[in-house]
Amino acid sequence: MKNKLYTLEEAQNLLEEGVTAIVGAEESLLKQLPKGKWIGGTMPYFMAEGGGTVSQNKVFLHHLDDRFQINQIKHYKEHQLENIFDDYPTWGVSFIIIPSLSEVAFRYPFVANKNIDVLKSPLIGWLSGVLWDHVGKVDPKVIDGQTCTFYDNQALVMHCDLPGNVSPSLGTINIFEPAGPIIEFEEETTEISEAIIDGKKQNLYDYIKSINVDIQQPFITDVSGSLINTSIKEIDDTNRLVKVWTPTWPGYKYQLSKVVDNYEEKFETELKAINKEMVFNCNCLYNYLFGKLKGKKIGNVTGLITFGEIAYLLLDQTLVYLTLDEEK
Amino acid sequence: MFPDISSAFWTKILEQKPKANTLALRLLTDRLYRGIELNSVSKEEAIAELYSFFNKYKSMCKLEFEFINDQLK
Repeated sequence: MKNKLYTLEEAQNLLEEGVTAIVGAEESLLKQLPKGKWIGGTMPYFMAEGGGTVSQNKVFLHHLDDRFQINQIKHYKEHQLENIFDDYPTWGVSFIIIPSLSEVAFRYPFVANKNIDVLKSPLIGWLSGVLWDHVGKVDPKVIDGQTCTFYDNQALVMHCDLPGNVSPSLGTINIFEPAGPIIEFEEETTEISEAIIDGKKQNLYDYIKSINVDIQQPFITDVSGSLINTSIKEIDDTNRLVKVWTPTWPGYKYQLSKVVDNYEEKFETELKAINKEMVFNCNCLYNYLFGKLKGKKIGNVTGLITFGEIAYLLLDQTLVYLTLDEEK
Repeated sequence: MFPDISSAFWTKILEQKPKANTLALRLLTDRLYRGIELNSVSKEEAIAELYSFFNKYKSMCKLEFEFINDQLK
């Protein structure tokens, strides 16, 4: 079964038949899906078979094959987020969806950053969202398909067992390259006033303004070889602050990204190097918007376009994916 | 499959900080290196974490072991 956009009726039939799935669609469509073995989140942006698209009348199903057996589907309030890691399956993968712009979405990266147990088993997922024009007017939600219950401020996790001979692995594709001065942050925060830039403490807003950085260019740090982005949410002229989507990490050396003008080409190059089937993937809305991916394909990848990507940690402007290695 | 927990292999990882290929091991080693620097993780705890990770994800870590072993002198 393909990971793709289905009509509402097709999605209803597949879920009725007992398909295990991760689902993305508009809330009005999610409401019409039958109870079953799935979790979902509100989302109108997709990488469909024909390329990037916005759809308010179709449902995206990420099908999980028979190797995935649901261990439990559980929702977690803000103060319960650390319990996600205690509930990991002994051997498997956990899929997480968090409503973006919620308190629980704000809190998750702080919890994941300080808790080494997040790395004990693969955790992959996304932040649900709404049409970009509806941000602030409509709340993103997640839905537990077993009960068809919506949540707007809880993380939803589907913990799945895998057979012992199937090994899960998470990966990321980050098309951005760091360049320029070293930037260090003294606090773990999403609202930055000052930073140490090439060894000198200064107002980050003034610095960003002085070099004409666009919000399309994330801050990047190298974590033992993996480049981790922190995307700019807003350059706040009123308060002279730089606001970011995921918190900065003290003790890490960041740089701003070079300007990228050929997203498709860069993704294609990275995808060719993976050479494995992606069982699940999602890509960032910033990449879709700033990369002008509407109507454009990136390799043969189909998946959700999301308001934040989770591969253990909450990431920005990144494609995250799950692959499986099976020993025969 | 991998060296015993008492092997110098694990200590060398912490001392020489070799590169890793997979996201999970990169994030894990980064946490452990920083934990040791900040005295929030002991070397023994870090070795136990690494040993446990390699042996849980044997399939994935076969290649990691070769890659890392080549870097350790």
